[in-house]
Amino acid sequence: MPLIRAEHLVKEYRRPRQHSGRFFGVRTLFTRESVVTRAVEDISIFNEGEVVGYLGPNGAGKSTTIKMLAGILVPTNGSCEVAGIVPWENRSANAMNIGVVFGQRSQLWWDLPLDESLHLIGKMYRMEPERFRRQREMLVDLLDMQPFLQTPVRQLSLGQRMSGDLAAAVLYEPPVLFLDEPTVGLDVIAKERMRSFVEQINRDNRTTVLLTTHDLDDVERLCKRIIIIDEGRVLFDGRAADLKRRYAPHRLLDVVVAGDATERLETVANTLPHGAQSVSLDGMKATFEIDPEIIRVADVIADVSSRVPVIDLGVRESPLEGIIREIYEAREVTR
Amino acid sequence: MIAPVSWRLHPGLIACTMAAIRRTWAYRIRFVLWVVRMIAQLYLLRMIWMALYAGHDVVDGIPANMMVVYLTVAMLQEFLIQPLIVFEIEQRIMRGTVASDIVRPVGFMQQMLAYDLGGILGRVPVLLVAIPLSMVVGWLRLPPTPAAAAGYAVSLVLAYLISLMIWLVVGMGGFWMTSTQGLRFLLSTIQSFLAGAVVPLWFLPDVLRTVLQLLPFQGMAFLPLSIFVGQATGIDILVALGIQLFWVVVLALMAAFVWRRAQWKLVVQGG
Repeated sequence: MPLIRAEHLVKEYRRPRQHSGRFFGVRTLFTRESVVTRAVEDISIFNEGEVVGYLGPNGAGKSTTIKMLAGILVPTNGSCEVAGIVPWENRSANAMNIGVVFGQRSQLWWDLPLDESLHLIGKMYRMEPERFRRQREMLVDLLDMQPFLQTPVRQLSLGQRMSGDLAAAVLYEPPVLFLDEPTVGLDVIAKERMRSFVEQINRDNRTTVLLTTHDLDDVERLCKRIIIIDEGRVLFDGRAADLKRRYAPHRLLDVVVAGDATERLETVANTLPHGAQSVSLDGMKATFEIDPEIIRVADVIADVSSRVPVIDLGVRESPLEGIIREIYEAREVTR
Repeated sequence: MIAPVSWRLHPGLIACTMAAIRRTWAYRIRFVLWVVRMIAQLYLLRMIWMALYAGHDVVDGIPANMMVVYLTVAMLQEFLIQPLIVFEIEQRIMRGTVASDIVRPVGFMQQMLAYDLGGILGRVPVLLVAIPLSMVVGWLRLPPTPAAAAGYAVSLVLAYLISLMIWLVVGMGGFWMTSTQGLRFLLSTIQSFLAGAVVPLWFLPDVLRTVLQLLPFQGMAFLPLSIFVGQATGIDILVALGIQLFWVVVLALMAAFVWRRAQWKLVVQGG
């Protein structure tokens, strides 16, 4: 069942051009020139229970899309529905259906203990006391919040604060969760806690999650579907596995040979079968890139190990990070 | 597009007010500092005015002790109804948390008003110390008549609304004017004077007094204080309340207009 439907969403930003030099303030105030920025989301349908990774370079329009879906921004053009509601037309009804985490900006009350923020949010979303108690207990448990539940938010570490923000966003069990860079600045443990938490609520509640991030580990771990946008254009929309197959079908074969076979390894590297090529060669170690469309990885391994005494070998996929970088860079060139 | 303001009491709003009260109490030491600052200010103002009276008991028909009461109440009520909501809103816009506030099932402005109310209730304990203290040292006495007391109570509420609306109009200008800081700084410096909280309008030159009487600021201090000290009596009390009410209505319309523009700016243009 489609839970979010966004069609031809266009947001044009018009900002007065900032002047510099003498009297720049006054000139900015009276200027008629403006700079128009476009953020577009062509067509997107998110189904119930999907976790979608929303990628794009800084300023690609990711946050703008989230803000439109959350009802904070009204699009210049196009339409969208979240759980059957047009967000900006019925903001408070939409609010009941969505949870939002802006990684850089806390929604918690700075001067108050974390627990009070949770209570306040429970009241705002009209939660029954019994349901609130149950949810709060579950979240405190799941996110290990007991030790800092009574600490004022301003004294929390970033990781603790993020746990609090996540708890605040899912407390009232919204069917849709928007996470805008939720792991930015977190340490490894806090990132892991965040990821397994998102995994769990997606599994248990079938919560639909839209995640923007620059951390591709988040995406690899959580998202089956990836959308890459830039300047409002959708560069890719599909499964993470397809992304790899399309943009980086290559496998990487790492080979380590015995110390006396380095010369023979060099020969092998220069005479690899069609479909394989050497990408790095460093003494006893070499890395070969294999195109599985042309030759099977197993055949290359057989060929190499028949010609040099192999001590160790391993097969890798190209990391997602490299792929995304390539896509961004390709875009730079075509522009 | 924009939900109409609904005044149905939402449990979330009560929770906002309670949270604001607790937040006011979060920093205990601030309470002590507030009381100390208030006493110090009162003491200095009283010194200045006693010097101005220069040994006379009555100047322009205003007895010296009435003047002291006037200044004391001016300070106490200014402390109570100060428009901290504007700084709250500004802070939320600057920190960007305004996005989270807007994505609530409760309207943004209702949330802010609920916080402001909580702030006022939270400051009441300071007055519970300051009022008895100023009565003991003789700087404060009760209104002369029950009519003055009742009139003042109503007038104080109207004074709060006037100050709230003025500051909302100025503060929300920040949504689309790059910065209203200059205007705000100017206003915060001279508002006490414009309101007649430093020098009662009686003592001002005719021209200045006439100008100030045409502006809404006198409703923030001068009008309620004249009622409190018994300088405005009988029909004058009703006239004062009428003037205040007039300004509440005018300023509320302005604030609503500004808020609609601000909200439009925020949601349509991205703030």
